[in-house]
Amino acid sequence: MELPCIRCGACADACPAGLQPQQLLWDLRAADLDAAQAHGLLSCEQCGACDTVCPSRIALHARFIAGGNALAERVLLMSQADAARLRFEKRNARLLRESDERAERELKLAERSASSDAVAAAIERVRARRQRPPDPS
Amino acid sequence: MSIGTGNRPASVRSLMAWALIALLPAMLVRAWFEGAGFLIALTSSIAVAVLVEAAARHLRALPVRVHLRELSAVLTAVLLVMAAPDAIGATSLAAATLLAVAVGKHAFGGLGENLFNPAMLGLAVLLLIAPDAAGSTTEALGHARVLCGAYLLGGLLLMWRKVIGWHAPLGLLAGAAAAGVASGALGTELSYADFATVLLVAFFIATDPVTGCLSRRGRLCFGFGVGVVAVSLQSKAPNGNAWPFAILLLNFAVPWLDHHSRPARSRIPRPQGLAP
Repeated sequence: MELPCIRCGACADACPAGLQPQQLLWDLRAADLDAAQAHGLLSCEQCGACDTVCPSRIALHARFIAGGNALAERVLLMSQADAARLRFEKRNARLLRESDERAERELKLAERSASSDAVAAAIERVRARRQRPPDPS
Repeated sequence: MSIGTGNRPASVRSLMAWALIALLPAMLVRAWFEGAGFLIALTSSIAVAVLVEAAARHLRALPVRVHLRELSAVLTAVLLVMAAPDAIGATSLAAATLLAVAVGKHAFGGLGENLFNPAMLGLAVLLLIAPDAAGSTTEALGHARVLCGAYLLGGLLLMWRKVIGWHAPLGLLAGAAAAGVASGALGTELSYADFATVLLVAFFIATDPVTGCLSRRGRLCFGFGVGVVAVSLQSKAPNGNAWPFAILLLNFAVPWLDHHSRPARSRIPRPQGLAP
């Protein structure tokens, strides 16, 4: 039968990782994974010493395993989300770059085509094609 | 502070039971010298406490019998009766116990959730409401000396069984001594009856884990604060008994003390900007 935490501090004394299990318990009860991470939940060695000494027989060990898993899962999801965001941003940058380059090329082509030399050469090409007999191919 | 000795870890019930055992010599002394009046007050307060605890559990739809076995309600009643001035009657004490368990404990959320020491809350309200009922203790000198010895014995027993640590009691004695020396009251006005109250609070009330600090350093500061405040306010408090108010004041400061004194063994750096 699990009784409420009486703040005796025995768990903190027993923890080999130097954590404060009672603080982690309160953080996990409040579903505050940020605070649990800041208090070092990922450093929990899951030895169960806190469980053994707790006078209220709180299932600390099980809670920290579950909480540690939830936290690790969240860290993994966050890193995946970060990678996805990075890819998305890079793709956007690439598309932007390509469209800029294409616009530049078209601009250069338009400038070249609009000059009088290019127009005269194009007119010459058309006249030559009209005078040349068609290929019997 | 590691709890319990031997191979089996402590349970809440065993902690409470040891506290009651340690109070037994003092209870016997008072029963011997004060007779039936004390016994009636004690038993009626215990009965009220247990009934209120059961009723509160039932109203909160919690299992009643299991939680009654943890004896914390009994301990609250005993501490309140022991800390109260002798002249207060059984009815007033029983009413104070009702307030202590119902409001001081269950209104806050039950075991482990209360901010204030329930016995001290009940006693403080009682002293504020009916200060004239609190006459000064008039027992014989021998009575008070034996009572001091009984409390000291109980306190040492608890420390030997590792139910309590030494930090809060030592801090309290140091704080009381410092304030006493500073105000000049130490040499002249201290009676054995006052000293008995000091010992009771030092070993049994300031060491309550739920309303005290988590870290050893915090407990030392907590005890010191209680001692200083209680002795400093002695002249202004009803019946010259400022201990309940000192305890309540320091209970209020416990979250702040905890936030600023991390347990020494912790290797995790203090989280910045997060609530404790």
